[in-house]
Amino acid sequence: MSSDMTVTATGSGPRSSTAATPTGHETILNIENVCKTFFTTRRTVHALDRVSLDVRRGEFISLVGVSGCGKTTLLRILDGLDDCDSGTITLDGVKLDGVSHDMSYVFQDINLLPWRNVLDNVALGLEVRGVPKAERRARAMEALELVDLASVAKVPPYTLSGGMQQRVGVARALAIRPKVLLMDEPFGQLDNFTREALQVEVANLWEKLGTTIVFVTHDVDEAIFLSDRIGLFQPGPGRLTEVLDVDLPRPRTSYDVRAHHRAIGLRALITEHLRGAKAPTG
Amino acid sequence: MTVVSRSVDDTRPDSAPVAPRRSPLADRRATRIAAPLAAVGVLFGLWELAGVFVTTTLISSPPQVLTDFVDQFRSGPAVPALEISLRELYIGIGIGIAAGVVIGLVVGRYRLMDAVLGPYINAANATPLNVLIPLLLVWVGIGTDARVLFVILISFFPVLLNTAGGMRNVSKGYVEVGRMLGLNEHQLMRKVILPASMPYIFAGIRVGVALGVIGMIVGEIEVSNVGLGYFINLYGNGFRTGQLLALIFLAALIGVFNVLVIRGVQARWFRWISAAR
Repeated sequence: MSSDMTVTATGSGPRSSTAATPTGHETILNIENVCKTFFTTRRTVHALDRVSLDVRRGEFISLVGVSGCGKTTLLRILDGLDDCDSGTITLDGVKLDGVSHDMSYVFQDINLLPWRNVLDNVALGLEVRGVPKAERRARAMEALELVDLASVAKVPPYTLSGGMQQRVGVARALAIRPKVLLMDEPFGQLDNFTREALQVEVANLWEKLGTTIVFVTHDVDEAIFLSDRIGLFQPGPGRLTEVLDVDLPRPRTSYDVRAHHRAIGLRALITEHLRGAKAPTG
Repeated sequence: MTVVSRSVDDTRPDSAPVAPRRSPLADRRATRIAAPLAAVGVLFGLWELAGVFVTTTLISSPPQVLTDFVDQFRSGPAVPALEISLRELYIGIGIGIAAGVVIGLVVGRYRLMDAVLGPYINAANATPLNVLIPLLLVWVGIGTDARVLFVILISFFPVLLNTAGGMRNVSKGYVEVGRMLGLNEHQLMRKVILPASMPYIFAGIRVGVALGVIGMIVGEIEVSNVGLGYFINLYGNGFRTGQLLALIFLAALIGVFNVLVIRGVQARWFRWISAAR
């Protein structure tokens, strides 16, 4: 991997492997009083109620909650795929309006375009940013190398396994060198073994690149394994009720997460919190 | 009223046919070629045999039809008739398909255009279009123009409806990927929505081309003294069954050729359509 693949825009760079918290507490993404209500003919859904959060530069933060608590809604608003009713979001001090060119999103359904080969899928975001063709290919190739899939660059995406497609989705998001990477339950549909392998891969990528990552999941162990901090959501209306520090050494293993006494305490705390939350009915 | 509701359902690309169960024998390449040949052989055998019981005026016979087929080209009118018919056909479906795709893109893209044109398109599509032949004759007179116009009309609507319907049915996930990566409306159209609609557009073209061949023959039967359709009609009226069947086979060959061309184009440039599902 060439060194310029590091997302220098985030400024934090590679960290030492034992650092449990990100260097400094500088805010990269400021979320202030974001509200969102969906109206349908049947009912009104208060998806987000005054959600505020400062995402720190270079950190890995997970948003955890039961389904329907608004965590995905928040992530979509952050990327500009949906609008919020009120509140502001600023990235590096600039107020966001519409789809941000400095953030990218990894969907649960990765939806690679079947008429493009893997490399051209990864390069799509660069095409619309006016990157010349040769550089586009080189950067897409670098992104594929990051997820260890350079060997399938010329292959149609539908020939890949689910786990490989998900890694291409990560490469596609990384190719534009985002300041913040938003991941929406990216491993939700994969089998356990593939999921664990990809969790390790994402952790390694994050260590290597220093990109800020906001990660939505309802898997508590996944959140503990990956995160510096975990934001807990409560449904009806969707609120961010607590942000916990994950004080575990890195690099982590799945054994640490299951057996480390702090992880055990943390899991109990989170589970308690989520159990208190009643899933919205209907 | 929307156009989508009229798109051709049975050509939906995502309703992949259930693969029939195969015996090991059916997988052998030789079997795959031999089986249809045998089926054709059986048909011709039965046909020949039928000549013993039924007068050949009604059904002719395979050797006779083969002779007539060759004679149609040697000394008969097949070559000039084909020349006229195929020119009409390919000019007609060329214009019909091009117009169908372009207007389908506009109707599929802009809700207002759909609202304005939708009623006309649906009404026209529901009409058996050969009622327009007399009107076309009044407008442009008997001749090539009327027949070409008819082929254009009859091949135009399925392409239009499938193109517009295909654009509506583009997976929301593909569009979100495009938006997320920062594509503007124009780029989204060109790089996501149009390619994603290709399976539907191809389905429309297959129907349009098939209808175009029908339009060509019907047009010639009704309005001409040239072309394949005219001679088919002539031989039919004269009870010249052998020659009639020879030309019927010729018309069928045109249809088969068209299907092979469309399949070839799809296999060469749009392999993902059949492979991705």
